[in-house]
Amino acid sequence: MSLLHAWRRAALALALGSASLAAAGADDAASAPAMAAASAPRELLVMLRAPTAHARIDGNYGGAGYGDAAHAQSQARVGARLAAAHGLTVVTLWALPALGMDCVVLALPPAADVQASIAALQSHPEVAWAQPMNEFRAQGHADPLYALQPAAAPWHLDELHAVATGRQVHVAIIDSAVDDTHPDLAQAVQARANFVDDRAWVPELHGTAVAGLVAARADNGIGIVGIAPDAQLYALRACWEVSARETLCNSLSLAKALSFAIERRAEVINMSLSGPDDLLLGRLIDVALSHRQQVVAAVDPHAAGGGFPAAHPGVIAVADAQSDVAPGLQSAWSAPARDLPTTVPGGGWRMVTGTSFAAGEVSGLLAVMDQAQTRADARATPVRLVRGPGGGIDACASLLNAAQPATARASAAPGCRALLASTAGGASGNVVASP
Amino acid sequence: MRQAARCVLAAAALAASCAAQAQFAGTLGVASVDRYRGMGTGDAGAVVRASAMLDLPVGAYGGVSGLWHTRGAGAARAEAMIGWSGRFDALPPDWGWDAAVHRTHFAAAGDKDFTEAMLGLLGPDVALRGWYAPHYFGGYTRTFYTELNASHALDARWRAFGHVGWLHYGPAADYQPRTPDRTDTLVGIGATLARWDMQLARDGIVAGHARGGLDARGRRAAWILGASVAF
Repeated sequence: MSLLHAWRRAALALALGSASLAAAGADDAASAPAMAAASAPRELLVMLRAPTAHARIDGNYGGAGYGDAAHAQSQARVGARLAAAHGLTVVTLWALPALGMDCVVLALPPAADVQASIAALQSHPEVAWAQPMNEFRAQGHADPLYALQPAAAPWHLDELHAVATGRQVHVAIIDSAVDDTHPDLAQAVQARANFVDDRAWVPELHGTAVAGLVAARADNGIGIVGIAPDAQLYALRACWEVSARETLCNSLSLAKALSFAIERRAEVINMSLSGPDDLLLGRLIDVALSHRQQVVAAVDPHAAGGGFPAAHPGVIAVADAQSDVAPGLQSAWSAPARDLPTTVPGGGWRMVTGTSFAAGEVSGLLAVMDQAQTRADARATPVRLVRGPGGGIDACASLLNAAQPATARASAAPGCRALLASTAGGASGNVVASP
Repeated sequence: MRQAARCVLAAAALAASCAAQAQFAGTLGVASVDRYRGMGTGDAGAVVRASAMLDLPVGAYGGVSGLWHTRGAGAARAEAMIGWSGRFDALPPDWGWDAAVHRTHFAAAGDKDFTEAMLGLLGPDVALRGWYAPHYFGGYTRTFYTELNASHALDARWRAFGHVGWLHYGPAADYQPRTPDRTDTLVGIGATLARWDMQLARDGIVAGHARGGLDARGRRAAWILGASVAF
């Protein structure tokens, strides 16, 4: 119980600290990375090697050995021992079976040196690694305007939706809280989970906007149409809104949400955010990729290399189609990122701009492609985006590339095929597949 | 009893040698009734169980447990286990294996003491294990017990779990009839609340006999309600 109280105090302190940072930089989103670098982390994530699951002698049929009280108590003792040895305070403990580890969050005293503390902790054999609690920022911002859906025409959404709509495909939206009562998102959210401690679920702008771009329902007579209007969403709140223009997340909340998405085997995981390199998140993304899950991330145009997780190997990085791709991230995909109408909390719609939302569109497209993928080995081979002659995403070619040819022929999308033939030279013509 | 003591001593020696890095897990619990692989072990109502397990970073583990009936008719039981577990490098970390030797001792029925060797394959929330006992419950025939355990997290606190086991008796002595095989199952739900684990389960024999063992009534199924606290 004392751990819970300590965590609440720490989360409150972090929230207050974040809020003051946000107020200082609210007018200039471009200054966000610099602010993140200036705020030294005061918490460390310490990854403990979890004992391999094995037969037990306590009559418990719990199964694999994670999540039970005895295991948690044992690891809490290890965390407390490490904390005591280095003058730190245990904040919380969290099991990470996807990595075969447990994560202990330790708070640093004011005068402690972060790197020295990490080095000292890593000298213990039971510690796999230690890292700072990083801070991440959602990409993009919203304006009270409305316009057309820029992706509708170049991506031929009508024709795509005649083939597939993302039905039975799960997209994990790792973001701020989604307004799952929004009429354009009715029945779209299959499950929601809040990984932000001490903050109740309140619908927030960024997550709701991304969710709408992915899966706003079609043919309901209102609002917009998502790229994958029949996809099922996991609304995973790992970020919190500190102002209308700033949404923050941290390593722990993101790792918890990623673990959820991995456990639920979401076919697509959308991370419309950016921050510094993070070993824990990188390892979890690797696990997701090894499960053939697609991870989509927004490119941070202000960060060298596009920022993390966009620059992480295997991640589908998405940049603004109307601006240059970040140096060092030429493999990024581009999608419409400006003046995108989408859902906002409270049942309304608004126009948004930013790579966050471009990433949401690509996640939606991947969901459509995933449904269309009908090969017997569909789960073994992730769908692949296809570049058009201009370097952007050729949505038709991507879809046809994912679908079995017979399915494509039988579909009601002759226009898409015809367009593909005339603009890209056919499904096997002058297209460049994603790496 | 001597073998159980040896196991305990071996576990203690292992613990002492690596105490600084060992991870200890202890539990104290109660259950409405004691059941073992679908069979009752005594018509004696609720039981109290204490257990202690130690994990070493190298993969070795060991543990002891004691079980006492709260009413007089049943026999107290002590168990000791020592084993080794590991992961497969080529597979995700939630895949692994374990092997162990397990000794069971009955305080009031020493002739039913037995030792088993186990080999297991572990996957995400699932475990497949095979147990070999040369003298199961003190008998003269060897047994092979194959079990599949699985659990599924319903949310951060609740989980459902299930078990199916098949006990196969080897050839009997010439003058005895071969004991028929039997299959047992268990399904239940559990919850973890801070230091507490709680479980409600239904177990029983679904195929084969329910005779023998220590349960004079030979009940084929029972509800088990249990709670334990970790320390």
